Amino acid sequence: MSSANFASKPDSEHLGQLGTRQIFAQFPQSIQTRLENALESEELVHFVFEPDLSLDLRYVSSYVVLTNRRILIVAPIQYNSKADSGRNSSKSTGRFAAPEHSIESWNLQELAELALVDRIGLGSLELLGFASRLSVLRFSASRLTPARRFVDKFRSVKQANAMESRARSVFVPPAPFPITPLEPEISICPSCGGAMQPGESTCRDCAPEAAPDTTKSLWRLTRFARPRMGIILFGFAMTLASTAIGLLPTYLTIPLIDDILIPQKNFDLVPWYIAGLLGAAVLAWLFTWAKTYVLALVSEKISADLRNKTYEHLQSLSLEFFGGRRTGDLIARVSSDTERICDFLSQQLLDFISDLVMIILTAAILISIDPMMAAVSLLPFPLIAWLVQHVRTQLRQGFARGSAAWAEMVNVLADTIPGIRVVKAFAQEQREIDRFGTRNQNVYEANTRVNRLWSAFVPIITFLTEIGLLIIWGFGAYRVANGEISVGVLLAFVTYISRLYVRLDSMSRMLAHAQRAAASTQRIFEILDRVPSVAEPNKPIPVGVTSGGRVKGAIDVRNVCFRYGTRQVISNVNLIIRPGEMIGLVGPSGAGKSTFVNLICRFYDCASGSISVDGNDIRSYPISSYRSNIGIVLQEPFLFFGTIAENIAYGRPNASRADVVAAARASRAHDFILRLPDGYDSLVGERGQSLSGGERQRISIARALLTDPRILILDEATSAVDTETEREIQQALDFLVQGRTTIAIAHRLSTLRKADRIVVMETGRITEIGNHDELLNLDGTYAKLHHAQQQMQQDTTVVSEAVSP
Amino acid sequence: MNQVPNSRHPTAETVSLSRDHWGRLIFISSDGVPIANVTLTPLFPISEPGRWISVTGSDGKELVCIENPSDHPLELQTLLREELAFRDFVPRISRVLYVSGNSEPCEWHVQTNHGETKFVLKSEEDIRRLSPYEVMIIDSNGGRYRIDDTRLLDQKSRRHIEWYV
Repeated sequence: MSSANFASKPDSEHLGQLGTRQIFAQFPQSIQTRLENALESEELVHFVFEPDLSLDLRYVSSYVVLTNRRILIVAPIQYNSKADSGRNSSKSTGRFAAPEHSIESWNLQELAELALVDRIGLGSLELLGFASRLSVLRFSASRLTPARRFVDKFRSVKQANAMESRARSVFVPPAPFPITPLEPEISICPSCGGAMQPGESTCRDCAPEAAPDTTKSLWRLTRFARPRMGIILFGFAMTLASTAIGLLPTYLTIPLIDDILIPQKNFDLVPWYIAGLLGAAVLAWLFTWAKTYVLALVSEKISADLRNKTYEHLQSLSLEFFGGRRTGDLIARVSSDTERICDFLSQQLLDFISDLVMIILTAAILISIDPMMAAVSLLPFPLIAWLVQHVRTQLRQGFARGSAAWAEMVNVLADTIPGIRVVKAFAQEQREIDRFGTRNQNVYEANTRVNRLWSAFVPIITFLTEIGLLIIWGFGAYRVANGEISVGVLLAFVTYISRLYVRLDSMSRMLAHAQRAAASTQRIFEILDRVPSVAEPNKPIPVGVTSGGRVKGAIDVRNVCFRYGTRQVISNVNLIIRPGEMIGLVGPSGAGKSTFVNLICRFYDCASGSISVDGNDIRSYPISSYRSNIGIVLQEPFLFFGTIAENIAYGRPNASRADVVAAARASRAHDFILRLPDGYDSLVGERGQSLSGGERQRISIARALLTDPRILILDEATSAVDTETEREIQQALDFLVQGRTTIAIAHRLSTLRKADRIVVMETGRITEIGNHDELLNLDGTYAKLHHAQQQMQQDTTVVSEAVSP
Repeated sequence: MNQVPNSRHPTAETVSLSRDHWGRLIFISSDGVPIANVTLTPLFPISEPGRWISVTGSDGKELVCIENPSDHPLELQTLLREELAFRDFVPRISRVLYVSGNSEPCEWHVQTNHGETKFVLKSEEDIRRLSPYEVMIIDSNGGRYRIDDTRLLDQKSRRHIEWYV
């Protein structure tokens, strides 16, 4: 059911349809021939699984082949020496010449079941016969997914065979033990919150992989450049034109020197030459201006697109993604990394391209003037190119390290500045200063390492430039003396080449920027490549067609399981909630209460089972129109920077003032808002008016009330405030829950006195359901909690006064 | 929003509000009890200052809310306007004459519809843009100034404002 939300896996599903040859093609030649020889005629290969450990847990590749008739195991000899002796074992005899591998095989009829055992970091696949275990294969965690697919494939082949046999009325022995279906495997990655494909133990994005070449990530930016191809090409044409014009003056100096200055005649032509030089300068100025402006404009646009796209994608990612990541790091990615890319595109890349064009054009001109001279003067070029290439790798690593160190440092800031009260309260300023200092030192060291390399690199290039010029002077003087070239040509060569080397220097500088930009690009694509764990349905069912997009609020939770990584957080929860019913959710911390409401809000999707609202699976509704039916009041209300009126109207920005005021009145916020200097226009949020916890909570209740949600979630809404405020909030909440399906999580049971039913959750399961009296009679967890809290109330008269109805 | 009760806050019903000999505001509740020394509080003093006037007792509790003064008799409208004029002293800046520097705190000399004045701007956050061309300035003492349309300012004044917003 839920797998329908994910893109279908391309590889293994239709592997069976591929030819045997194609499947084998990925294996070493010796294995290939071995397998091909072992197969009987008309035997079809469905799947090949490669365990990577031997029985004594050494890394050894072996191959387990599933065909339509048999399972074959190709393994190195020593690997099978300890295994149970297979009957069909043919150890390196006869036509299986290669001595190092053996092949065992079992007919599918002999195999009752494949069992998959998943220990941490180590898996084993057991071939179970009808009387005994036939063989065991061991593999590391990285092979868990293929192993699962192998088992799936085995079962489907086996089933297909059984149906065929039944059709031919062949006796199929019943399995000696019940076959347990594999657990549903869709889960949320614990490190990034992305969706994990069935059978994956770490999500694809977080699985450690050999880092791809960062430079390649720069190419991926072309996706953002494509829509602006026209203007980019125009800018490129300008680059070409301006560079070509820039080379003209030097070319003009050849006849100026050879025909006028050296023979000292034809001085009347000088004004013409000067006019020509001036014209070239003016044109160069115009073209350069145009190219710089146009290309800077485009790159600014591209990086703006990139920022938008990244932020948009961030918004679509699940809550868990944000939970697992530092805020500072995410902010840096969206802001400074995109800025760095923009700088690179608008300045360094632009310069690089015009330098490249310049070098090519210069080389062409030099060759056209005098091929011999050109060959000599371009001699040191390959050397420098090699040097550049060599330093490139080291610089790349250096910059990546520097950028990581920088992010670490920003993280300290993002961590401690919001938590400054705690820091001060525990007098840990010095520790935080030290912590920052350490990270800052890391930045310093990482950058110093790069600078050291860099400082050696640049002078070498300059030195080589000088050497190159010396060669030209020497060789040129010799040729002038022999009358092979004119003085003008020599001077032109010197001018061209010295400019060329200067350009090469700046080109090599661009290299560092490219690496830096590539690293930034990669960090951004890391976000963009992430698959949101909650996907929009392919064929959405409109929400509440007859009632203007509002649901009735009947919630039906069936067999819901949810895994967070490998941890089972919710197991087999069943609950039917009537429209308008109020459910109180109690239980110890970590019982899965918040996860349960998160599933109802569809912040994640459940691994198995289903949650239906008004009879339709919530996964079939468009996400945003489903969520617009839900109101949430959290323990820590969050106010955005803006006016109180804007904060109340956050869920319904077009609400009228009358609606805002009415919602505030109903949530008991009106009176305190009235006392603020600017009333509803007072600024709140990070830089605004400071409000107390209770006041903020009442604003967030007004916010929930204004959207008129059909399903209301109260997640410890009153636990962060004092009892007097709690009473006021409780009044506001009592009004809010009327006529709405409500799920209220509470530690203080007194806040649940209006609940129709109370659900007790423990370790991911529902253990008790009933109203207050029923649960007291049950004398279970709820009764214990209740008695404990009553005891506390008797101890403190203030408390008991405040919470008694 | 039909389920939010509105009944206990009469809007267009008669609101009895008058000034006594000491210039205090007297509110007479629906059951005829006079309540002295009430204050007027606009709920949206910035975004809609002329409407949504809350009448509160000395304890800060709302007695009645006048949503739209123009629904009420002229005397009441006049009374409200006069009272609110004292509550809401927000000079309109027509010209910025002098700013002491580009870093806060800085002193501003301005020409307003109430005459020339100077104030100290504490931080850049105290200049708020209310709408594309509407700006509000809060000085170090909490005093407020407004600019209704920055486009109508002369170029020099506009440059000072646009430095911030």
